Amino acid sequence: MKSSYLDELRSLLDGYVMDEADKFDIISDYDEMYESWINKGFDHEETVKKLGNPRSIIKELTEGYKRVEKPLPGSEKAIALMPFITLIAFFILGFGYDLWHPGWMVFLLIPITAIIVEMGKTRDAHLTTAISPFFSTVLFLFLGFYYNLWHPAWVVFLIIPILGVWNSRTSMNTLTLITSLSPFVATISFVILGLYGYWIEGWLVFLLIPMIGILHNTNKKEVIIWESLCIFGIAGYLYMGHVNPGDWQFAWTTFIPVIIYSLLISDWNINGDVPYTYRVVSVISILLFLLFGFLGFWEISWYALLIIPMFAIIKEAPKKERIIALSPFIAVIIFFTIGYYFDAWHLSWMAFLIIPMTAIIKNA
Amino acid sequence: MNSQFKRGVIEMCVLKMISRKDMYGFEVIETISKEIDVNENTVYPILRRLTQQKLFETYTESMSIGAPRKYYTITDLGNEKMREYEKEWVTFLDGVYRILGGKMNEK
Repeated sequence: MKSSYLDELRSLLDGYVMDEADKFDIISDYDEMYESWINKGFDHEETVKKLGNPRSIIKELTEGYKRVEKPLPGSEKAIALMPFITLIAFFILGFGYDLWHPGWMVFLLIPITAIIVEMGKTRDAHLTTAISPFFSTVLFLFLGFYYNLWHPAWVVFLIIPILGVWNSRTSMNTLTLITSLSPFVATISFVILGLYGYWIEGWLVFLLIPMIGILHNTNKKEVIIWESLCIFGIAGYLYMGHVNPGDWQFAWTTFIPVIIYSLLISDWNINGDVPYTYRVVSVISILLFLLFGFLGFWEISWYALLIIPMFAIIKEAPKKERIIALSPFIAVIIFFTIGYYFDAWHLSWMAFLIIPMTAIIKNA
Repeated sequence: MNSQFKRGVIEMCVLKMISRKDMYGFEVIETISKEIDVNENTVYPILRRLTQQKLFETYTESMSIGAPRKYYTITDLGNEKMREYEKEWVTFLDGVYRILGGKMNEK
């Protein structure tokens, strides 16, 4: 039991550039801690719960250490050849089949290959997150151009934050994971309900977010009262709206009890360590997205959602790397604006050349 | 509480506790967790880092039952660092109290 726990920890530590002495120290510390809990009468499961699963604690233990790099076979050649391969593929698709658009999409393989090679070296858990902007852009354009589904195709962009949360799941407990995913589940559910004509009632699914979030509150009595008042509000809202269809504008009053109770117990914290500015920026970008969308600009309103990751990059990324990290977003905006409004997809793909060009210039 | 700040405070507490008496890792956690919400994964890296920085030294003591225990003892450098931290902490708290008490400009 103990040895399997320590073995797993050791194999995870082996994934980092770390002195053997440091690894030995960590393993012997955990050996000692394990023994101490067992001596206190805890069983294996309880002890592991106390110490934390190796996969969930490894990030904390290896802070400041680099991951061991294991280049994928042939990866450097793939990066070097990809521009030529994609150019040839682009010309074949263009001249041979008159598929200049969407043939330009093959150029996305250049940054995708570079990301896979670079992040694959360290088996980075966020590899799929890094590729997801390309994947969702292609899917969004495909659904938009071929099926004219700009709305609700924008939902595919939720893949990016969903993967971001999912790929961080080992560092959070189940409730935190569900809480983090709840805004996306609610948004997708809202859109699906809306497509079936339930726009008015549909917004209720957003109540899932606080209904799950409040479960973090350790005061069970408060949780039960809050959940009960919320369910009462939902039931009352639906009843008022459906019995008297013209009463939707007053139906929200059924939520007054839960709003008042929330204010009374408003010391619970579901925002974790998310700084205030991030919350403000997220709210502003979502509002802008909805505003432009409902004004009839769904095809570009998703730009507003890019504000969130771009703001995070500006705030968090080192100055030197900031513009490199921002370049994919800038490229996507330029590409789509030129392509959509000037119908110049055959030219606008060149915007993606900004990404490798920026990286080369900054690293030169 | 900001995790970086909390870690800094815990580091100071660990230094202080071990300056009073030599302790083994689990003992440090048990003592500190009576007052502050901490877990093993926060305390052990601090103990390791302070040992690497030569603020602590370690020695093992065999036990009648179970694995030998690794004890931490403070070094001269550790004592010096602790006094420095204590001084900074008192100045910091003075400032915080003055602000919280609404007397920012009074010294």
